[in-house]
Amino acid sequence: MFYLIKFENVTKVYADTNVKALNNFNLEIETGEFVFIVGSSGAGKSTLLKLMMREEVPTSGSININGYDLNSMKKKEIPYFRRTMGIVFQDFRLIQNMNVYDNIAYAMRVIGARENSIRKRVPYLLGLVGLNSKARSKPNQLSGGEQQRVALARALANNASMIIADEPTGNVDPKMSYEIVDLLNHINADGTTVIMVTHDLHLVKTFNHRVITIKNGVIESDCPDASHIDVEPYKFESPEDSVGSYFLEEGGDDLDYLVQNYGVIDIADNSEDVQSEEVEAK
Amino acid sequence: MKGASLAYLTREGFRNIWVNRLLSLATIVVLISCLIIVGSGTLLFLNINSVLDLIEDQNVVMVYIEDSATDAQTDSLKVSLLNMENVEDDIVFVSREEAFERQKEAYGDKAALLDGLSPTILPNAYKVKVADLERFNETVEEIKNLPYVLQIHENSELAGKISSIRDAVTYISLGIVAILFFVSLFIVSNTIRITIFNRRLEISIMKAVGATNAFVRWPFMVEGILLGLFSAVLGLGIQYGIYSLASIWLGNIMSMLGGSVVSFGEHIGLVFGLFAFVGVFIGVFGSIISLNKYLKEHSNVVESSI
Repeated sequence: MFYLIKFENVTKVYADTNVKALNNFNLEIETGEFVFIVGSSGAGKSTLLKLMMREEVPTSGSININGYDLNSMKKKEIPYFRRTMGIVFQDFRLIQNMNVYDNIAYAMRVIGARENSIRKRVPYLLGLVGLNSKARSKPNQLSGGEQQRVALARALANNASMIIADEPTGNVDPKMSYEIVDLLNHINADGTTVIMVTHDLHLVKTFNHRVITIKNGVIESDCPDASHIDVEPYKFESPEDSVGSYFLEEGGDDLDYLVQNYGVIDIADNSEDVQSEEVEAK
Repeated sequence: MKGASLAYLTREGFRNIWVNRLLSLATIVVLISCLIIVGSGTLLFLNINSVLDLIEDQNVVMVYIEDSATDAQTDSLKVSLLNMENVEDDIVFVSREEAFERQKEAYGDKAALLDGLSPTILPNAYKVKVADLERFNETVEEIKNLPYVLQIHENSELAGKISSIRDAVTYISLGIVAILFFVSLFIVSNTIRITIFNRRLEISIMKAVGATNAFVRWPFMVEGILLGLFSAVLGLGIQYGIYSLASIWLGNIMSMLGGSVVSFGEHIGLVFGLFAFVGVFIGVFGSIISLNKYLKEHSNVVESSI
C-alpha cells in the first residue's frame, strides 16, 4: 500500500543536548487524510514536524514522504521536496512590508511561476480564504485569524499535496480557531492531506478526524476519530465567507482554474454532509 | 533559475535597498569610507610615482662621441642607440658648442677662466634616457660597446636608488591596498550580516516554500552590485573633494621637488574603474560570504522560531 507519509522505527536524538525526542517511532498516513497530532509540550510533536519538513534527519530509522526518501535526500533536493507541502506556522510568518496579495504571490515567485499564473491563482486563493477585500492590506492591518488565513492561502499557492500546520490556532481566539480549521477541513475535502499539530482538544473533538497522541517520543494512541476525547466540541457556526459558501456563491469564475489544476473537486458545505460536485476537466 | 524568477529577484534587489534603506545607507557609508581609503592610497602612490619620474628624467646617460667620428658616423650611432630596446626614443644631440656654452653658464662669475679655450676641447654627445632602470648597468655596458663611443657619463648609483625606491613604493602601496581591500570586505560582509539577520524571517519563509539557495542569494547579490555602484559614484565625488583640498598641501611639497600634483581629471577613469571594481566586488562577495555562512548554519531551518 502507498502511504503519503511513512516513518519506520524512527529515533531522533539531539546530539547537543542528548535528548531523545522520538523513540522507535512508527507512523503511516495515507493520501487525503486529516490527522490531528496532539500531546503535551516536549512530547516530540515539533521534532516530528521538523523531520517531516526535512529540517532534521533521523538518528536511526527511515522516513518516506510523497515518494521522497528523506534519509538519502541530498541538500539540493530539499527545496523541491518542500514544494510538495504547504507549511502553516503558529506565528503566521507573513512578510510585514508586503501586502496580502504579494505575501501569497511570493510563494509562487519563489518557484519561478509566471506573472499571468500568479494573477490568476492569487485572487482565487484570496477568495478561498475569504479575503478578497483585503488583498491590498498589510499584515499588521489584519486580525490574527485573517493573518493565519493569508498564511494558509500561501501554503496552498503551489498546489501542495499536503498541508503541515504547526499549531495554526495557537495565536487566535476560539472562534477564529474554528474558522481556520473549518477552512482546513474544506481543503482536505478537496483531496489535500492535512496534518495539524494542536493543543486545542475542543477543535479535535469538533472536527472529529484521526487523532494521534504523542507522549515521550512515542505514539500513545492512534484513533480513527475523536470519540475517545472527553471534551465538549465548539458550537460555532461556519462563517458566510467560508470556502464552501465561496464556491457555491462566488467561485464560478475560479472553478475553471481549479478544474485545470485538480481535474476533480469536492465542494463541501458547513454541515457534516458533504456535497460533492465533480467537474470534468475541460 | 527561470527567467521570470531572475527578473522578479532583480526587481526585489532594487526594492530591498529602499525597504531596508537604513542598513543600505550604513553599507554605502562603510563602502565609501573603504573606497576613499583605497583611492587616497592610490592617488598618493601616483604622486610618489610622478616624483620618481621627475628624478628619473634627470638621470640621463651622456654618451660622448669620438672626435674622429664624421657626421654620418655620428648619425649611425644615433640609429644604433635608437635600435636598443632599453633606450627611450627622445635622444638629444648635444653639440660641443652647446656643451661649452652650458659649461660657461655653470661657471657663472668665473666663466672668464674659459676665455682662452675653444669648444673643441669638449666632445659631441648624445643625451640618452634608460627606460628600465633595473637593467641600467647592462644597458650602459651595451652602449659602451657601440662604435664611435668615446666615453660614457652615468650615475648608476642614483638609478639603482630610484629603482629600489619605486619597487618599495609599489610593493608597499599594493600591500596597503590589499590589506585595506580585505579589511573593507570584512567590514562590509559584517554590515550585510546585520541586513541578513534583519531579514531572517523572509529567508525562513523562502526556505519553507521551497526556495533554492540560488534564489535566496540573488536579491542580495543584486543589492551588493547596486550598493557597490552607488558607493563608487558617490565615493568618486567625495574623493575629488578631498583630493582638491589635499592638493593645496601636496602642491607645496611637489613644487619643492620641482614637480606638480598629479591631476585628478587625468586619472578619473582609473579611479572610477578602481572604485567600481572594488565597490561591486566587495558588495557582491561581502553578501555571498555572509549569506553562505548564514545558509550553512540555517540551511534547512524553517520551523525554529524567528
